[in-house]
Amino acid sequence: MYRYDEFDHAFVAARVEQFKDQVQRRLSGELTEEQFRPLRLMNGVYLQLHAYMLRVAVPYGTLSGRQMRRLGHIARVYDRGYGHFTTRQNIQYNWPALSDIPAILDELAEVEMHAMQTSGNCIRNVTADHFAGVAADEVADPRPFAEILRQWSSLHPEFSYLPRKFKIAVTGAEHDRAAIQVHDIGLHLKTNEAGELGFAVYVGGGQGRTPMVAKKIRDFLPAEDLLSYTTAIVRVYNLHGRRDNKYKARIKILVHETGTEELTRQIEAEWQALKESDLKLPQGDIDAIDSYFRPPVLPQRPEGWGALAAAKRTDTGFAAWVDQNVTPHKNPDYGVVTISLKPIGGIPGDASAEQMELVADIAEKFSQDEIRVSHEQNLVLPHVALADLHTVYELLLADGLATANAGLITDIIACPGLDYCALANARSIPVAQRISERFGAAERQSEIGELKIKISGCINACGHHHVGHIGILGVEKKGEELYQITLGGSADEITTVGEITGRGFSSEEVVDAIEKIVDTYLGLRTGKDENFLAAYRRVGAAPFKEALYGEVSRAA
Amino acid sequence: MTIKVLTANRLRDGEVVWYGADGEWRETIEGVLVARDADAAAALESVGKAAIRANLVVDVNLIDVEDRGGELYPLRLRERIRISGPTIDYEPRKTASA
Amino acid sequence: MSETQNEKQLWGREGFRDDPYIEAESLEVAGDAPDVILPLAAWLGLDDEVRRTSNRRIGVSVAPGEDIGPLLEKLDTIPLIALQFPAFNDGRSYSKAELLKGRHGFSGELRAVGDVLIDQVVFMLRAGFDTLQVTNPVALERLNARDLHDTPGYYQPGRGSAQANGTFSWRRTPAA
Repeated sequence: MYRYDEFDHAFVAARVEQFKDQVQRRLSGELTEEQFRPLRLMNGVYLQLHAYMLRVAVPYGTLSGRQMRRLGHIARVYDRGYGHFTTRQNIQYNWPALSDIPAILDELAEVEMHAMQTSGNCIRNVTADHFAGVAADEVADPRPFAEILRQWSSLHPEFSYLPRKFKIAVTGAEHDRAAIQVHDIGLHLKTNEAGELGFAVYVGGGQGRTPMVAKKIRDFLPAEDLLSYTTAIVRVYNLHGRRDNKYKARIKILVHETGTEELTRQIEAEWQALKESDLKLPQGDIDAIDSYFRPPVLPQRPEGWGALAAAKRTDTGFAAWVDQNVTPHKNPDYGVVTISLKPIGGIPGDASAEQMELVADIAEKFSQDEIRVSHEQNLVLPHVALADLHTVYELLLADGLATANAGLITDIIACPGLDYCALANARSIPVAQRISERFGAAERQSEIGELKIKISGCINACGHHHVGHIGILGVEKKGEELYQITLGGSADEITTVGEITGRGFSSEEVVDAIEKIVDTYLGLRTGKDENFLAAYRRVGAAPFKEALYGEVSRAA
Repeated sequence: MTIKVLTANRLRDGEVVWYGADGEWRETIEGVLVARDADAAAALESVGKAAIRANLVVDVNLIDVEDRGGELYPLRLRERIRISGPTIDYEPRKTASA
Repeated sequence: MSETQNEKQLWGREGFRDDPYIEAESLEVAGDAPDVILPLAAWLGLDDEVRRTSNRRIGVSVAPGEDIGPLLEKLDTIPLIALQFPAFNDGRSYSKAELLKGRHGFSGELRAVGDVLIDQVVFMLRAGFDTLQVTNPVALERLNARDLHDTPGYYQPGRGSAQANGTFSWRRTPAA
């Protein structure tokens, strides 16, 4: 993984010193809240319902054991013993005191981390496929390019005051696990006919109030042009994106209102003028960044095949976990382990300090010192030898981290919702917990198969409800929480925005409604190999609406 | 009218606080100063503005509450959650041994 | 909040300096002031011949929503372009500065006017601004102390910086 050099260390240290000074000036009253607010936001500090919240960047979701251990330490010393992993592969702390945040930033800087650009109208943390570098279906590791973008976008003088926040995601595989088509820029790393590396470029995806699937504006951009082309896109957006209405300020609205063809023309014209500038990436630099991400030399462990088969026979819990949470690695002696942060009835994405430390230990011993955070709010151990799987499983199990539900109905994405968030209208976590409990039995989940439920507590859609196979959006109506359901959303290579079923459901009704939808699916699927999304795409919304609303829907 | 109380987050640590009858910002809603008419509400509002200027608190809000048998009950769920804390069992449980 | 309205002061990399320009809605209103900044529409309304033969310097002020296109072919005759920041978070003028100085080689004075705060000063200099018109008291105080909130290195090309030695092509260090 990438390691800071002196340049990076000095840069981050300078920023931490600046923020220390700013916090001091705020606490002493020299800065008003109005003056301080943009400064704290630039350093990832929000004010939520009960306390400040600090969002720490985990670049493209990659962490070392040492970094994860430090995150756990911060949770214990400065917070209430836990942290929350987010859909942008970051971690949030819910209870830090403002006066402690400079010390936290010092602790982070020591392990090459920071909280810059995790808020504000700038280019946010660049996200990537959480299986990058190990996925069997990958053309190339997207993280070197995410790292180049991360560096280039750090305190960018031209792009720190954009109309709105700006999110970039990169994937290197055909099967999109990074949801690139719901990002402001989505980059799909691929090779052309000549075998050269480059990107298909998507622009204008996003969720929120007006969900839109990104448009492909270029089929192949040579890798060396990554920064000039991105600059062209962001410059056109900075100059022409709407600033009169914050709900219409994302680039998706500019794409929509300008038209894909015309906007592409503007971007291409801008790019022609930038193409041969200082932004052109020398192959030597791409190679140098790439070398940080070189796959570890994995010792051959062929004994794992037999050991795994034997352990699966004797330990049924282990067998279920392997089937659900372990995916193939490029190296056949190894597996990619998803550590579910979705225990049945638990809080999606939360991890305790002890759990973080345990994962750090396991990663150091059994996963080449590497951990990933997925946008689905789980953790990933990318390089576990099949021979070590049972040991790893038992260690995880002891700390409540071996829930065998990756990709199943209880692997729910949920935003913090009204339990924490100052913007939320309704709670998300308790709904996720009740759904998880309702469907938590192992046989039932397995029978239902792949099903992605995503819950947001307000229209900002941090819980990605628009792209959930089943999406749930919490709203406030007459002082009560009300939940709207959408069906058929998806954020993979065939991205679709879910359709609203009809009137919303009260907090008491919503879990029953989900159950009706699931039962309807089970009743109409052609077989177990037709998952919920496939079935929905085949039959459409009608049978589900009828199950939910009965006569009313037919009359309407 | 509905009665009103003044709430905010403390600048230094972000803690939820209410403005008390004793003129102090308190961490519980008990003993809070209650505004029962428009004049009292206006007075509370200026207390809030002064507290912002004095850099004691941020995000000051005058919120609607009901007196339910001597207990103050905010009308918005948001404010009830600010009193109760998250409605979920959020603090990590101690490691269970396998 | 309740800040007292400070004097506008003009600042450049070398420090505070006197501002010979006055802002006026039109040349008529400007009286006999030698150096005038006009709004874009008024500036474009001037006859090119009048402008060129005038013995006064006539600069132009551009709002974030206004297009710099019509100025491009006349750049070598413009002594000053003021790009406006009506609010610190309206970043359009950064891109215009970059285009004017970087792409189109504007050699006159490029000035930032409006809500100039200390935390944006380095961004403005790097985007190509020569001078900043400052009223914010914290910014004035920090500029006086030459505390620019700078970083020891940058991750992008920009004015006033040099290629950082022995590292990636996009990195820069502040020019001496």
